[in-house]
Amino acid sequence: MIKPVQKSVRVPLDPDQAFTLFTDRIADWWPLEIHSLSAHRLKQASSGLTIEPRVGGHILEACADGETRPWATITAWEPGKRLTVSWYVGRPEAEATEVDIVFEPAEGGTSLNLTHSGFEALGDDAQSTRDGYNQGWVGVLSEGFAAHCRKTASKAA
Amino acid sequence: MAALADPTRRAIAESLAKGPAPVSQIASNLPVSRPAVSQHLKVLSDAGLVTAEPQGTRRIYRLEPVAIAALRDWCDRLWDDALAAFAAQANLISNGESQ
Repeated sequence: MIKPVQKSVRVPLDPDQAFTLFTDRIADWWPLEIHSLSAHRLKQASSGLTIEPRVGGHILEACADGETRPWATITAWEPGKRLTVSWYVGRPEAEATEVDIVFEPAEGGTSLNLTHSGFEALGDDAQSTRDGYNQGWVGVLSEGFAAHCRKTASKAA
Repeated sequence: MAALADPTRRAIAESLAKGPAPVSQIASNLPVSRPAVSQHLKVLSDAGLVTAEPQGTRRIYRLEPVAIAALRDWCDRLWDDALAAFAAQANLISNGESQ
């Protein structure tokens, strides 16, 4: 079991406003210039990011090459309370991890608590074999991935 | 040692992220010779990022969990960056309202 990533941030907006900013207005704040398929694969600016506001909807990047590519599928959509997505940016949906974001009222605004879990699924040999046709992680997030591998490797050396 | 500073070795690691594979299969997807791939695999294996298991007459290469852990660490940083940007925008909105 690989430990989930857990993050919390407090913002001076009420939970409904915070949820709306996080979802409807994601393009206003998401750091696309460093974290997007366009930035990682095409070395170009992405032209947009949107969320389809419903269970079964997607987070979609309008990539610099004109293609629209999904990052995630929404599995829970509770405005002002919770957003859960199946997260597979750059990979086949079968290799998804889960990102769960809970919005809670807190002093002075809202506390956003994020849990990104399910990384062990990526190491499942049975699945990798079964999905032999898949695109794997080819090219995905290669800069960040490589940088961390470099760090790990230099520690090991 | 920067085992993954080399683009070919990065491509090999990414190829192995799809699942364990023999040299022939890795080489078939890359514009480099099989002996060159073997050399690169040795570097990755010396760095502990890749392991090899004999299977019949060939060796099957596998990406080590440390590489998955590296992806997990990368996601950790992704959310640090994303939530910092989210909070900055929330603060802007909040300040705008209070003025």
